[in-house]
Amino acid sequence: MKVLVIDDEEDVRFVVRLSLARVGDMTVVEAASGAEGIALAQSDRPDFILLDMMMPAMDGASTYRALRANSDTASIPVVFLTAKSTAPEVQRLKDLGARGVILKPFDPMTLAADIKAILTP
Amino acid sequence: MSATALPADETRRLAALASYDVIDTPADPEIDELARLAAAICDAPVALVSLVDGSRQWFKARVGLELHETPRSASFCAHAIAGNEMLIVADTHADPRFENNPLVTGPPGFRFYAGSQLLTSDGFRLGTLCVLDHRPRTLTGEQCSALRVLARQVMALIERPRDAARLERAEAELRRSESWIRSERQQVERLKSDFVATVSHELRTPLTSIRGSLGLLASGVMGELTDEARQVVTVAECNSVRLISLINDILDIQKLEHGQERLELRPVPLRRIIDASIAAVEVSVRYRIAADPRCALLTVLADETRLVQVLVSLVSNALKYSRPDATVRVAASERAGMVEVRVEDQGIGIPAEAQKTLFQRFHQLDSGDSRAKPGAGLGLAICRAVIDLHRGRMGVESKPGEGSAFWFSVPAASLEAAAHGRGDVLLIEDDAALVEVMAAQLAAEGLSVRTAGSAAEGLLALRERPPALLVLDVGLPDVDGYGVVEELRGSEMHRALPLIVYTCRDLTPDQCRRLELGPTRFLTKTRAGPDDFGRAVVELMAYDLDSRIE
Repeated sequence: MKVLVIDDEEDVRFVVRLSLARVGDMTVVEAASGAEGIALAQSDRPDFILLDMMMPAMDGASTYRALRANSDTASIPVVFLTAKSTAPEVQRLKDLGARGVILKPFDPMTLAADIKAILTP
Repeated sequence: MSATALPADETRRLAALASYDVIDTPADPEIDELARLAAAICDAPVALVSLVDGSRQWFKARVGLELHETPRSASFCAHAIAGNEMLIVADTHADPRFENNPLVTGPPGFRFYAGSQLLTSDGFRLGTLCVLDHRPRTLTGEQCSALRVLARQVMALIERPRDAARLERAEAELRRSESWIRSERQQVERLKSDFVATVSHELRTPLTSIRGSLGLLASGVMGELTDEARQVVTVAECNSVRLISLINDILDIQKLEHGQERLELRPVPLRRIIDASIAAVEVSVRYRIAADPRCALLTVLADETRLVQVLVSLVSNALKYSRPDATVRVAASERAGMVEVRVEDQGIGIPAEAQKTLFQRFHQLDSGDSRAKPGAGLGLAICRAVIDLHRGRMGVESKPGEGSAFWFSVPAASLEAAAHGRGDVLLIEDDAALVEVMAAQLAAEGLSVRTAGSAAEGLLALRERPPALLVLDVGLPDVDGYGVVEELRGSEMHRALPLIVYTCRDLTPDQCRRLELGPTRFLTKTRAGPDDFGRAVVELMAYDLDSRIE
């Protein structure tokens, strides 16, 4: 399973990569910004995208909309990663069309399983 | 004519006079009346209320004199205000100060003057109430006293508009200050809330990396650690998790206390809440938890997730302060429309003094027990805030050494509870047979019911007294349900009314939106049975107009 992680925090990407690769046995591609993420989504065609909400320049919502607007990436499921845990915020992300929401800080040992549970219909 | 001595405080006196804004204003009938009274009492043909400014004396009231003002140099009053006493000039011809005064030498030819000072509350002499005569004479002691009293009354009347204006200005100032304080307070609350949210968010991002890295290390997926190294990493991981739950608790209480949390109130079997709570804590605990069998019979109107959170917190606390072999009991009872849940332990108990502050933020109990893991002291404050939002109550009974009983109450979800102390239900429905069935169902549970067979009749009943709940048919003979809702939306008293739309047709989402008032439920007559109707009534009766649960 190939995942694209879009997050501006290098340390967070590092932990997500280790967690998904070592515990979840996934292949991880990383992008440090929304723009880079959109390009990688097109070229690498991941099975799903883990998208950080709070990013400078192009935030998670704009990145999500751009991914949806592009026919090459429109069908890739997106799971949001956010540090804002309020119920309205989570609802907002779901209303945007996100498959699911993972809250930061997450448990590195269950992250892969949590994402799989979200992606399994 | 001799030069008039100026009062010692002349500059300030003039400023005081100006502050009353009385010079050159129209006559005041009440002051005129006092002047007439002075003339009558003193048996004098002329009486004046004279105010002395920098250059003239101006008459606010005058009896028996055509002049409106005279130069200050021709004024008796200018002399009167320079002294401390009432000025009486028995014969102007015998007083050198007035030998050249045109009012003495020419018409009206005054021979007698008596003036009582108009003294402000700050001690400034603005002028006089004076009486004058064309013949030499004097006043009796009684007449002097009366003139002084009348002068004080005149002064009170002069001060009145200024005092009123000052009061008005002060009130306006107060209103401005209050509104400023209110807006500042709101601003501070907003900033505080934003600050907490931002800081918590900013803390969470680095904690994601810390907790993640430590978790991966501790789990061994990065390679085996020595026992000592694993211990070190586990300490760090546990504490990062503790820090995260502290941040979550801070955000949680902030949300609850600032009305940013909207409860999802539904009728929930209490048993389900208790089972979920016990399951959540028992995972890692060896203690016994016994639930009262009566709990199985009760249904509460609650936000399930939040109520489980409260019960988990109470049961965890009870276990934390109990001996390993002790039993924690969960009991419940229903009274007066509320369900009370008690969590009883046989633990160390809480001293009376400590019970007072137990539910405050960051309160911590010194357990004296090294097993007890210190928390942030937010758990009970969060519980209290959740129960407050349910409009319930929360408390504790405890004796040191014997144990504690924490209890809370939340609304019961039953028609009987809905009927308790709340308003009535108004049914607007033209099908008489259906009205009879619905009214009978509600009345059997002790609810008061009013009925209306048409929109017009219904609106009349609504205006007379808003019900606790409105049940509305869409197809009415006169105005349809949409018209009724539109009318009610325009009324402050009715726009938040809980509503059940009971209709024959299936409604489109757009039609539903047009029929929404306060909390609204839609029931289709062909599909919804009496139970569905009863449930909707229970749910919506929990709202009332004065204190809506949100």
